[in-house]
Amino acid sequence: MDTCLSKPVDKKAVRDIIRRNGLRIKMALKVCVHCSMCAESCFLFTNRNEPEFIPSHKLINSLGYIYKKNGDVTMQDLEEIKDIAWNKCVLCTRCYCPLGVDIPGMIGIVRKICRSQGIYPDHTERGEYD
Amino acid sequence: MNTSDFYHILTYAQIHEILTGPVFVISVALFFAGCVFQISRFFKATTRVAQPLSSAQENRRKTKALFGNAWAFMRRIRHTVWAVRPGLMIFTTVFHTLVIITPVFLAAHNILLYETFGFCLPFFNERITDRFTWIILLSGLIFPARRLFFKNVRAVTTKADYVLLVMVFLPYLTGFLLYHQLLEFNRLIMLLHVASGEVMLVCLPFTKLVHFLYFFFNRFLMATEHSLIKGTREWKESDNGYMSVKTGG
Repeated sequence: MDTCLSKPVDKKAVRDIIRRNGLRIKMALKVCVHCSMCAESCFLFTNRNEPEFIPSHKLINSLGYIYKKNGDVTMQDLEEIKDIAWNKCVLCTRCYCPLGVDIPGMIGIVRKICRSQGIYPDHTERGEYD
Repeated sequence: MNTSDFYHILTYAQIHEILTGPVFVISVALFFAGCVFQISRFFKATTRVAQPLSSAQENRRKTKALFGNAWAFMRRIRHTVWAVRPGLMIFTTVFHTLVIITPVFLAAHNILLYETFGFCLPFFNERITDRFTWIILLSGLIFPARRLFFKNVRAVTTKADYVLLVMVFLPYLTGFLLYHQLLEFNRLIMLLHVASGEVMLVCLPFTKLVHFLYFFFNRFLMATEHSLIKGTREWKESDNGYMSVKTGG
């Protein structure tokens, strides 16, 4: 893990993914009005009742962060985002946004960004939420 | 230019003339240009669905469920946020409706429209629009309170959300004060009312307030599971290794 964290982030690859999905990401982040009405549609939230499981919270703190930084993120950041993209979201696509934001689609892009940097969950280890 | 000249330029009447003249025209033009820009951006980012994502029968059922009858509508929305938080949804729907219809069908605004262009829209009785404004101003307390006191809403709230709330409620608050002549300095309130209305108008298509457009695009045009009727469009770029949520999938 330490080896992975010491590697520099290939910012070009991250920016390339952001660019290819640019309009879609921009519109999703712009339309999300932080109303938190998507909360109860996430079964992880309803089980744990912690704000970090709200779908919009996951979107803002993963893709929102990467987009705001224009891909200028560290491996440490991506490690934290990995937790959101895999442990806090299972892409069950049940989240319901009243404004129609495709949140699982956005988390899918986050996973792609993480994978492009060699970051993905190690399923042989038990995670914090297992 | 000495101080007296400066004061002379900034008389209330002249500022009012500028705000209701060129600045108003520019703000309306920017509003429509912004809307056209956002609409074109949506169509640029999406494409027509190549193949029907759901059967014709499914599409008919969806459309009928929305517009068919009250029972079918109730069944349709039982999986939405309406069933989870009915009180908040009724309140927010009423608020969003009133926030649009109140200024558009306000007697005072339509009289100005008639005096300028010789035509006007139908308008509500002033007593009714006054009640509408009461409800909108009540929302001006409830929405920030939600963001401040509810842990889950506070977690996703940023400072910009409060700025937007102030931006939205200021024209209604100043309009309310003007109608009731509650304060002494009405001329200043009038300038604030016009200026804040223009700021809101310009910000509508360029800030998060753009959800007034994208709500309809996302829920009516996109072919997703949560679209309210048969959707006909999908995102162009889907290279994320994850297929978008599509009907019948």
